[in-house]
Amino acid sequence: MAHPHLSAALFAISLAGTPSPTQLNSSAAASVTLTTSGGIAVITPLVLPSVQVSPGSSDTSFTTETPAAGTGSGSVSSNARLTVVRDNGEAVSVDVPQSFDVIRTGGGETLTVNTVTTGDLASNGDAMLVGGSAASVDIGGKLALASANHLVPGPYSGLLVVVVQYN
Amino acid sequence: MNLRTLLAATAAAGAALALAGAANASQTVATPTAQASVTLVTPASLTVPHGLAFGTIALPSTTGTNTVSMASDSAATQATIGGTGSAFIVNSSGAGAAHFVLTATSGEHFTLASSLSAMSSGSNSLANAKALDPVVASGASNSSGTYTLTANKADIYVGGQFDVSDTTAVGTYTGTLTLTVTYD
Repeated sequence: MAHPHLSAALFAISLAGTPSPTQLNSSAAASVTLTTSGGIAVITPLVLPSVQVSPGSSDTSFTTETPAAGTGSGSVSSNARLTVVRDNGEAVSVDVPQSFDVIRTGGGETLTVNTVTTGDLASNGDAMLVGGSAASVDIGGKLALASANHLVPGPYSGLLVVVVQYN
Repeated sequence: MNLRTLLAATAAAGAALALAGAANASQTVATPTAQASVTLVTPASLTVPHGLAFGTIALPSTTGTNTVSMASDSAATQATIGGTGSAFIVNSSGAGAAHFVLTATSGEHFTLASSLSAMSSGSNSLANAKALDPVVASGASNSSGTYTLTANKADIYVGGQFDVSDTTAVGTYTGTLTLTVTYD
């Protein structure tokens, strides 16, 4: 026969040993990015690769992100990538120039870069944006280089101006 | 070990002592046995596979206020926008309610509560930021707000909401969403 006091003690031990905690808490991050209702964000600039032109070689060219033969080692090129923010259904046109000039730093020599535009643009060529509220436009560069042109080595830079019109 | 088993073990120990006394007198050896038992339970834990993310929202361009909400739903992949302003969703990549995983022993009862701290970006804070009621997507049944685990794991989702207007500052706002599980 169990002693009354012993039974009470065992019951108390059993309660103390209950494995589940009374309360569990855990926290998670909450985040949101707020932006203006219209605008253009430059995600990446247009970066042309370093190019080596060997004497006597034929024309060397590259297009968009992947440099073609004749580029220097270690250079990283990229398309210009723009994100255009607009309300859903808002008509927006994007005007990208066919070409633009880059000028040698410290000199006056110029090279002409032809643009290659892809992304969320209407297929009929009217430069109207398609896609959602954040349309993406990629602009690549293309130019032909030849050793016969007596190119002056050095860094070249220029300004690519893209006009986005909210109609 | 439950109460009944403990009492039985105590009685067995008492019998063993009595037998030992008899052994001293008669020089015989007894080897008593007693049953042993144990109940293993799942350690309770609460983990967070992912947080609450609203994505990128464009602010209203004119007067008016919008309430941006993310439902407490496993299937919610983008916020909803209500109100009189012209805010809209720019990007919903990675957006969704916070996901919590409660690991415990099937059959346990518990209640849930959620809270959201101020969502701030520098010195700016979002108006009326709050957590929505948690929703258990699987692993537990619900009876008037008291849940019972039907498995050793339950998936819980918690959404939230806040207000924006044309005077809200742009930026990335962050806060802390807390889920509290209280056992009955």
